[in-house]
Amino acid sequence: MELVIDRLSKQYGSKIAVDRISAKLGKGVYGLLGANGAGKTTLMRMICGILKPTSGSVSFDGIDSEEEDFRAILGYLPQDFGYYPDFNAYDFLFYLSSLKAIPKKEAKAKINELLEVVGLREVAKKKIKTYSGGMKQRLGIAQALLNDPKLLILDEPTAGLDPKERVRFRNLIEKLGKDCIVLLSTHIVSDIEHISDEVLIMKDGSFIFQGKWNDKESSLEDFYLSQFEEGEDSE
Amino acid sequence: MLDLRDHYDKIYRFCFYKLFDKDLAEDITQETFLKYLEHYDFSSKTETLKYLYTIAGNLCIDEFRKKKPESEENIPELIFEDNTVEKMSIRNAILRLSGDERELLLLRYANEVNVNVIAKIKNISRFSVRRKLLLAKKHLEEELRKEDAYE
Amino acid sequence: MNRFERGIKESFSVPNPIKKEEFIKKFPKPEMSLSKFVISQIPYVSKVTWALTILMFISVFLAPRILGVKVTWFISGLTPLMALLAVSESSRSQKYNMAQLEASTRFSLRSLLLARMLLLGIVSFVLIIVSVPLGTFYGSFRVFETSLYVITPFLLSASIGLYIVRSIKGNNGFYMVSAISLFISLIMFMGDKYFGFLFLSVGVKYWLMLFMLLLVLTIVESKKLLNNTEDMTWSL
Repeated sequence: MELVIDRLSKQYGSKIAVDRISAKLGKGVYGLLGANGAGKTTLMRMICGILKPTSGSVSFDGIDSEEEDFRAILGYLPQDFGYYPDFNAYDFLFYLSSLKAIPKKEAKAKINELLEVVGLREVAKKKIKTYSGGMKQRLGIAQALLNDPKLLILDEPTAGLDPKERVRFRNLIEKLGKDCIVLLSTHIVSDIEHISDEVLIMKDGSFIFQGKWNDKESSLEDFYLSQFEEGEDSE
Repeated sequence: MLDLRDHYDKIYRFCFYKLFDKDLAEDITQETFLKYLEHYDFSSKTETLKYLYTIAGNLCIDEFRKKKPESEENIPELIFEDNTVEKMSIRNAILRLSGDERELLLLRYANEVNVNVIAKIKNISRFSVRRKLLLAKKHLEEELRKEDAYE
Repeated sequence: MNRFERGIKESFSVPNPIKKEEFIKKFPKPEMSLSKFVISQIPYVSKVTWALTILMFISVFLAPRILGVKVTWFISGLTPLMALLAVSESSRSQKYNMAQLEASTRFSLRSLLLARMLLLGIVSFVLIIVSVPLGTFYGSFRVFETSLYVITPFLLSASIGLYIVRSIKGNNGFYMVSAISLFISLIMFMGDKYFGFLFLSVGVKYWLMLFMLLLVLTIVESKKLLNNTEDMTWSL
């Protein structure tokens, strides 16, 4: 199981949002750290195949990100998502199941299981417009898992979660990381410190650090901040 | 959702440990999937798995009827490419188990098939599956002890 | 799994299968065909759209009784509204910020858009097929002219609508499409009273040219929308 990112770039006019990023990711949890505007979302969208890169490619076990087979093993949680009016959690998940080509009977079992996992079973029949931010986020996580993805891309998944939900989420991600490739982005260092196997720090479209984080030397937070101070000094 | 690649490997493994012939095992795996195509409209994963393993099992039995395979003791180790001592001893012990017990262990631990699904495949209760698994493990332990005794 | 069980798992290793990739590449995917997918999307078309569509059909049947010979203008004012419904419904994902999620699924946004456009296209087609004979029978024009007067405004509204929805994001785009469609409708409704000169038999060849131009435009704009689903995924 391997995700190969090969010299991926995205350019808008003269602005380079993602600058020739390459990486090979195997099973495990990868934390993508970076300030807003560093290019994290753009990178994630290209990995998902939602955004066409200017150059470079992404493939999972040889399957290119533009192919249907790639999307079949993909689970994506965008930073922000909506819902069709009057949908409740069930409607939402059944709808996305139909788009993920999951037959109804199978979808039903999976949906009930996932609602239990994210703790939305009791409110599943209520309309999404009544949900809190944290609840909606948990629903987003559930939909990403509908098709038993091998590649999970989560963009700021912990935003809006309260501490208890955060812990639950971390446990879930830890478990998932054993059997799939999880890439999650955040600008909250403590999230990553606890669950990632490897850390990827992004700045101005490139990776300035990529690898395992060795806790003994210094805290990730200090290192992270220092990178940004350095950047400012050089300007 | 049926992951084709994953299940190809699993059915192939299942057939290999019945026929001990990798080309034959692969042919039967492909035939199983082709038959799956004819009836694929299963709504549940459990049903799909049951179908795959049942068909593969039946096809293997047909092969047995065509020609008797070498008795399991004579299976050349050459066909296994990874022969660490530890693996070899467990494998030898496994090969000495009955076909049924070996199949059960393969399904549960190597192919990670759910107990519920195994029960459906074999048409017995979950309780029986668990009991037989325990027995199979016990027999395996006994065979392993015999291995040690030789060394 | 404990250590013993893991040992069991590992010892069931097999020599690598060699014909696997070849087989899998050739293996047809046992999944939903496009037609099944399109059908599966029917319940997800908004109820309002279905209600308005039914209303349109009803009014088409009632119109001859109320309007008599002027029924042609009524029908040709109705079809741009149908086009408006079709375009709005097709691009629903954008309005409700669902496009990103949909784009990452197996069928993807493109198939979804196609499914919606097909569904609403078929409904529009039925509306036209039903209203042209009605219009011809009760109205004052022959079949050929009635068809042109009914279909051309539809294509005008559709092609402009598709273009706007692709170019202008968010609610502004929808308001513009609505305004333009209503405007076209209004002109056709008032066709008899104020724009009679548009419907003289000498003008028919211009209508025909306009019809063909708009047909091509509608197809081009539809294709562009389908191929640029990326634009839809930008959240606002």
